[in-house]
Amino acid sequence: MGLLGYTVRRLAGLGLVLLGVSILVFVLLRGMPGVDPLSAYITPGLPMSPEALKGLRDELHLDQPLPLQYVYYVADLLRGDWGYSRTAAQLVISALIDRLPATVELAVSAVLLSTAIGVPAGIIAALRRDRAPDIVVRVVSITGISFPVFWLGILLQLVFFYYAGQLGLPALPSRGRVDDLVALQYPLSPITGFFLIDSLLTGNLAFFASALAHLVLPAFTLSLIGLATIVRIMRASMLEVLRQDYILLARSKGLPLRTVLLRHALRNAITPVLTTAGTTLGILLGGAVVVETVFSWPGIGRLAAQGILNNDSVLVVGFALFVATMMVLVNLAVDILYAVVDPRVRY
Amino acid sequence: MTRLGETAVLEVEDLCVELSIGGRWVRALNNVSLSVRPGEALGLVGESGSGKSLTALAVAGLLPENARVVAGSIRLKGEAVLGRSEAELNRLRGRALAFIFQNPTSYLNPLLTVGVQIAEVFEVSPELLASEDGGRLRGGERRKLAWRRVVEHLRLVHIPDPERVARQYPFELSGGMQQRVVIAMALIRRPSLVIADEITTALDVTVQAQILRLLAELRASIGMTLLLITHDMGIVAQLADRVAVMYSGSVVETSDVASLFAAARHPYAKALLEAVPRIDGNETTLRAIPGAIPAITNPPPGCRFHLRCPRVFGPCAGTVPPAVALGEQHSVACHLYRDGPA
Repeated sequence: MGLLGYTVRRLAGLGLVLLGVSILVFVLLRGMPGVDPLSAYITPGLPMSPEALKGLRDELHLDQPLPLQYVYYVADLLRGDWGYSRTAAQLVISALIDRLPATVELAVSAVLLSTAIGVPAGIIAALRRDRAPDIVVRVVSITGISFPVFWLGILLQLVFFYYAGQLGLPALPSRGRVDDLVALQYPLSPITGFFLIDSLLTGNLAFFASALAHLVLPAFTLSLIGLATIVRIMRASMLEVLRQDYILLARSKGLPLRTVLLRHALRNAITPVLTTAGTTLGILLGGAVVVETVFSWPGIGRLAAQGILNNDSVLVVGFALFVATMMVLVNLAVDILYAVVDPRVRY
Repeated sequence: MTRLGETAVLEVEDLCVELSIGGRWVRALNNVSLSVRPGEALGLVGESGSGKSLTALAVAGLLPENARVVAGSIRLKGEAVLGRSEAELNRLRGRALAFIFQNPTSYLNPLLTVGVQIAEVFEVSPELLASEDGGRLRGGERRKLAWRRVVEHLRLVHIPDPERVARQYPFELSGGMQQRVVIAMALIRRPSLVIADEITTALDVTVQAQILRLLAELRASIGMTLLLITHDMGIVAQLADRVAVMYSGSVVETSDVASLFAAARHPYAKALLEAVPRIDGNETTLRAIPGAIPAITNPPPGCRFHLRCPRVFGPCAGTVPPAVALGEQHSVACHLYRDGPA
């Protein structure tokens, strides 16, 4: 019961955040001094008749005062009319939704990967504090956090695609979500839009294998963004928890170390990691712009990069709003998860 | 101190422990010896920093990483504690020992319900869950019996509505209730020895009294053997049969409670008793012991109390006084009594 009330309260706060974001986005689009808001909606180099321009101004309510324009703008957003993207040659909202599964698949894999590696590595580092395993983990994670991730991505492409191919070793694909030939031979009937899930659901194993292989390099590259942080936070949090009195009491009961660690320490130590993993997921869901571009991953990040290069501000602003929504939703999910793990949060 | 034919539950002999402070190993416990017999309550008394809690942790093999045992022996139910593997220690701890600590709030895991934390002990000692006829129980029956035992023990420590409390999280309970939970957790294992470390310090006075009454009642009803660590002479008088007074890492006097209160021998023990405020006294100021307990990083030579001792004389600054037996139950480590009872 506490959990439900808590969720409802959090949802109310979510609405407020989105209201703020929409105001910010609207100001960027319409309120910038010295910029004709109409320019965002016109394809450069494609002349329009004065009548057409007038029609567009009326449609966007550009002759109305800004606050009123905002009301129209929000009404349009709520109706799902986020404008038309020249870059994608489709409506902004459909362009984003079409590419969302690719981004979600990549972002979730990356976060799962960084958690799956980071949590055990952090625990081992904490348990073997100041000894060899701890030092290795710390050096690797500080190195990882210091390199630009897109550069590591290119390096991985070079090694696992190019050099591996040159040496005749099994190479990992370096671009796209699936092999074009495989997709032609074994077409996938979309259900959720997630290639891995859909191919498994329909028993299309050739497609699954190809999609999985394509996911490896970009997901690993992207996982490095969160990995270093997760390792360090897990280590610090575990060290902190192991000092707690309830760990001493648990040990004094004669419980084996495994039980003390898994039941008593891990549950308490994992909460800061949840926040980090959640924030990382939120960032990746909207912002894997560079890595998606490097790996030609057909997600919303690459679309946004194309939009930026194309001066497609309707798309870019729509993207910003979308990313903010994602971030807020992920944060909500993390908060709920937090309350599930820690009963004290519900009250 | 053990009488013939009676195995002590706990026997500590000449225990020496060092602590690592600023990269240097310094002596924190000096030849500590004490024994607790079945059914008795031994009070371990001293100021903060005298080594009471360190002794208790050493007994359980739970010394922190920055502490090490350098000499002596510890026997729990006749079995040596020192030099055992972690797995053997776990078994020994699970069977023989239970702790009740100072601050129940910090000693209960905030994320697990009270019932789960109590029932955990059955994982260590499954034999506690044998059915009435001694037969083996299946999973569902075991769980039901475990839960019944948990509720029974919560009732034993006078927790109202134990079925509900067992499903609650520690933060939903008051400090006194939490301490009762920790006591139930200790009792459910039928431990040979309960170590109670400053168990009332974190509680307010009325709750303190309730908890002490509960412990006294449990001692009478289930014959619990108790090592009672405290700085409070009042608690010793109320609960303990015998008492060991610690000062700066050494036991300075061991005695039965009545003799100690009637005629403490060691100047420190005397001073400690005089420092207890009396409700019937005429004094208007509290008596305090001048000076402070010495830092273990820089202890004085000889008797560690000699700088604060009102009866200091010749040998005190030179040599550490050995323990002298003054009677079957009474021993003191002070140069004043070198030649027997003074």
